[in-house]
Amino acid sequence: MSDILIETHGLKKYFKTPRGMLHAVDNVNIRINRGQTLGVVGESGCGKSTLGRVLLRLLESTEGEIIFDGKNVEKFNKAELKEYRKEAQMIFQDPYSSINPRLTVSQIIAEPLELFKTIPNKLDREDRVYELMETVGLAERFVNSFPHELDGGRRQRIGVARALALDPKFIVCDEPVSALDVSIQAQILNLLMDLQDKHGLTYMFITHDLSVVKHISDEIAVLYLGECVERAPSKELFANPVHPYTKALLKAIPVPSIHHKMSDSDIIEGEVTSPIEPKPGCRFASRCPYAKPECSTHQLNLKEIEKDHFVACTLYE
Amino acid sequence: MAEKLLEIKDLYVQYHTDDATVCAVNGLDLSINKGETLGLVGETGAGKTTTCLSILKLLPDRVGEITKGSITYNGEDILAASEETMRAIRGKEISMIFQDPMSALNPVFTVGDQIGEVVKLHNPSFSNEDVIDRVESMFKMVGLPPERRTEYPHQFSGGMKQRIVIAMALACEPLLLLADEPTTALDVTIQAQVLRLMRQLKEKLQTAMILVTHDLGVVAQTCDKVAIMYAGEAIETGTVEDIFDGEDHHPYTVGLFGSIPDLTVETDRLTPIDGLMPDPANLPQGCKFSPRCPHCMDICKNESPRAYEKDGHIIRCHLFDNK
Repeated sequence: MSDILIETHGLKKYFKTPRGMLHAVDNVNIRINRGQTLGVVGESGCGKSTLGRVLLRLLESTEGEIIFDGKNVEKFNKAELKEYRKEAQMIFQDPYSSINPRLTVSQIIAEPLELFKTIPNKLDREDRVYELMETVGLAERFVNSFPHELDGGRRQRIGVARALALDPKFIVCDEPVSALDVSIQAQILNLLMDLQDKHGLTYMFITHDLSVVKHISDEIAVLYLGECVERAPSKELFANPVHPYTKALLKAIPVPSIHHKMSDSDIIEGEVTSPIEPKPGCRFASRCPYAKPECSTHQLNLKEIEKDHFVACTLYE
Repeated sequence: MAEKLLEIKDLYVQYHTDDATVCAVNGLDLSINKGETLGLVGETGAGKTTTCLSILKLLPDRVGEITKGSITYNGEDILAASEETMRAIRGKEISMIFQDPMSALNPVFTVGDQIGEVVKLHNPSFSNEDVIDRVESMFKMVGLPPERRTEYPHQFSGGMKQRIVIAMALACEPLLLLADEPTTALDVTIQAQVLRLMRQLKEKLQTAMILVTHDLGVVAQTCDKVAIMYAGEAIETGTVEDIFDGEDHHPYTVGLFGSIPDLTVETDRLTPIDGLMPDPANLPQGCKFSPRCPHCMDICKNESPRAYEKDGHIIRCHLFDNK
């Protein structure tokens, strides 16, 4: 058994729009080892949620391969795909719209169990629901509550319990804490990390919050307009960011300390450009302070500049 | 001694609903001097937005009610002011930036018209050319091309819409700006741009600002003073130095700092605050934070803590009773 649980080769996802092809995910190569967490960061519109959905085959990719546990996910037949649905789960961003308001907590958590008929006996199934609720820290008294009776943190715990119901190996967490208050955010992050230790789960953690991603990830991939511009182990990326976009992103975080004042010169100008029919070359070039003429002609690929540290930038060609 | 611009004393605000009376603000004390930035920090339901709406007397009719306390702006009692006086103040002397730039703009008017409306209302003597001049100079000030004033909100990105909303709020050069989570809906690189803009404008126009946020990073980067709110009370107020570097803190402040992952320090586990915000329709007796507080004592459950003050750093907690 190899260490790698899921990897992609040249993964692309384009959407057809009236104005042309929207390159949501473009030539992304990622690799996540068993029991580890890959953090995917980027600003809105960089394709991070699309990447998560393509990995789970909630969206079909345009090109490229996804290898899960040594098997090609794209070539799964119906039975294999059903098995994959069990092994790969998702926790959604918005705990207010991702659960059915007309079902009770126990019905929501039991739904995957019923669908996959993993526990045929009704009483055993109930036991499993209570067990899951305990795992995620939901008090037993909420078993017959409806989602609207619960606050955001508890709802997100339902989302986590539902994702765990079928003992998955891989969970895509799509901004699971960004809709929550800071004190609740920390509770959910701790829960996710405890579950990983206990069940050996593998996470892909999608977020725009860099301080959260540093805390939870082993490796981080930075996305800009559908392309992965830098990939490195978490500590390495924060200690030694090399891509100009990563540097700008790290400097843009307001540090909660009065000794690290942000300087105006660190702020990059401009906004994310449109991902529809992007120009060839580096997509960050128009905002990049180091842009050279060759940046807009050169097709860039990730290059290993140090062990496990990959970057796509003409400065490091 | 700096001049006091706004003072809120012992403010109580309630919302009356069919089921219950929601106590959104419970005895809030705040003051802000001219040209100062005050950060109002707290979680959802702490009463931050309600405080801003009370200052402008924009609480929903009949449902929201200021039951006690006083708000004094520039020597004038806001709560006793007539609706006419309030209209003259709103937008001209005190203006507000709302949380969501997407929904704060009217989709069927051009952005230039929307900024022009404020200018015209408060400067009846202005000719149309004067209004357009002012709108164009506002556009330049917030870093947008003036020729885009004839475009509609949907033609702008989120960061640009936020700049338009800021331009609108600053069009009459107010003395006090209430910014309700002005950067929460924005990406970090755009957030950095907007914060820089607000910092520069504050220096240029000497506007005082109340910045409502839940992001302690934003507070550290932009504010002079901080008030931490919990269940409608300012449980700790002081300068940024007091809050970020001071020795004594309210247990809730300590909890808030423990909940944010720190980029500069390695931590294996966060230390969150246990439990949840209390229901504002059913607040606990005594100290509102006592059910979640790791240092809760018997007295906390029965008596509201009084303010402990040291050089302007105020903490409302029984832990400091003996000091």
